[in-house]
Amino acid sequence: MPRIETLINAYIDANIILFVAFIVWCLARAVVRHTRRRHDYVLHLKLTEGLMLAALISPVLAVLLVLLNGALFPQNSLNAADLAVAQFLEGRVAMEAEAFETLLSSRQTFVEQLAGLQTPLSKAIAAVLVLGFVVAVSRTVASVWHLRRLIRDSYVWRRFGRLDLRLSDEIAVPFSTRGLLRRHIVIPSGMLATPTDLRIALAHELQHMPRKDTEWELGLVLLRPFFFWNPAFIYWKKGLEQLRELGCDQVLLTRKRVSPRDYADCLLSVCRKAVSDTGAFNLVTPKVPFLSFGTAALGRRNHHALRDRITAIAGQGRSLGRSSAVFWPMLVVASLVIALGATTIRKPADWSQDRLMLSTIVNLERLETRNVLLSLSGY
Amino acid sequence: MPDTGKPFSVCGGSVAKPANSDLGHMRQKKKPDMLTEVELEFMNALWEVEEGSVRDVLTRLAPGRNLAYTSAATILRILDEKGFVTSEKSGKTLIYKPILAKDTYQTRSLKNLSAKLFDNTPAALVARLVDDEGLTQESLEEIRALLDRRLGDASD
Repeated sequence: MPRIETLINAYIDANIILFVAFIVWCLARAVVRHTRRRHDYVLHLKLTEGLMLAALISPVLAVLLVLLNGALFPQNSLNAADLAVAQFLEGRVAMEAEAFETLLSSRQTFVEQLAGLQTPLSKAIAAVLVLGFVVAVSRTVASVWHLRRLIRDSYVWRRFGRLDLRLSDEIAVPFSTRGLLRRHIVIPSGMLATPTDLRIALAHELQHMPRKDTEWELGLVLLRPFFFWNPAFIYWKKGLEQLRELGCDQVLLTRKRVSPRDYADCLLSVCRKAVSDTGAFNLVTPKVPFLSFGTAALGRRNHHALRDRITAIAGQGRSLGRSSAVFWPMLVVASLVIALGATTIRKPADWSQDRLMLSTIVNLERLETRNVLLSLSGY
Repeated sequence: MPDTGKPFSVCGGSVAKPANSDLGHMRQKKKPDMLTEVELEFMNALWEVEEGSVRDVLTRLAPGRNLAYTSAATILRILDEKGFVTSEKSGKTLIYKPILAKDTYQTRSLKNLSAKLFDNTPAALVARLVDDEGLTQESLEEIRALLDRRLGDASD
């Protein structure tokens, strides 16, 4: 069994990596926005997924970076704490040695307090984390149960290998999801009466299949209970959902089989039905809807998301060509930055020369203070 | 996660068999009482022809209704699965016949409306209907005659 301190350290590292990766993603998107590919939503989406994977494998990349650094520059450490100690010893940090050491060990102190529930603050943090985890897991389980019931009560329309096309009376927005073996595309049964909307919605949902969007959604829903409080996770997931739909719209429209006008009309028609549908269930479920709606269907955020999507649809229809020349260099650079971030937060393997020196300075300062106190008291 | 076992149709998009057999190991799905808007349109056509094939129903739909044959066949198959109609093979064609009578569904719809919108008080529903200024004198006389007949039956 791993020690509780090890688990807490791993959890803190994961959250730090998530923050670093999120900032790198924001910067990467800002860079793309300044190129002629700013409206290439498929590129934005690929970059987003690529960086999420980079964040996931960053601990492995960090080990590789440490090994590479050890082979090329054995004297240089990539650890943030070691770098800070080096700066302190060179006199670039105006702090008392003891205060600096306390600052360096503050994370370890926090971890020990949290593991032992030693202070009221650590107890409160532990309670919030456990309660949030339980609530998030319960919501996910309830939503999966609801989704399972919805699939069970729907009607099989057609079957293609492992894919079921289903019709449901209970939904207003088409969506894709999957089980362990089968994938499902569920369409509102009323859509059978509107052939153009049906064709567009089906084409859109089928587009999610080869992109493995339902698998991505499932993975993120499973991670949500662990990072429920982390704004980087929440905003990154939301960004992915938005790009996923924009990318899907773009691919379909550049194929020229659907006109932007029909596409936007279909979206608005689904939106109208979704707004009047009170039975729509919350989107914590591992499903990829044609149109994302939160609990408040008429909320400002939903309104903006729909407006952005319609605007994006209206401006599309021409192919942007291959994006590999932009995608791969950006992904490699951004992944390296994330890996470097993961490397700097790694716990140093042993005490470096600089650390020993800092410890010696602290001990000498303590000794001096003690001597001064003794001489003042007359002993 | 929902999973429905092995598929029985192959690639090519053949219309699937009834979902009850398809869902095999899963619990029997709940049969709904009410028809959806499109289903009601189809049932009205079926009530009109009493029984008929997909094409017979399609020809009875509103002229502007641009519906594919396969979509109509799917809607009728779902009506069959829901137990609103029954189907019988006649040669290569399926002939659909309503099981649910129109007046039964009218009563059910009114009860549903009364429960959902009029707090389960049919009197409030009728009052709203009578209060409606669009109701002609002739319609009101019809309602009065209907009530007299009903009340007469009750007192017998």
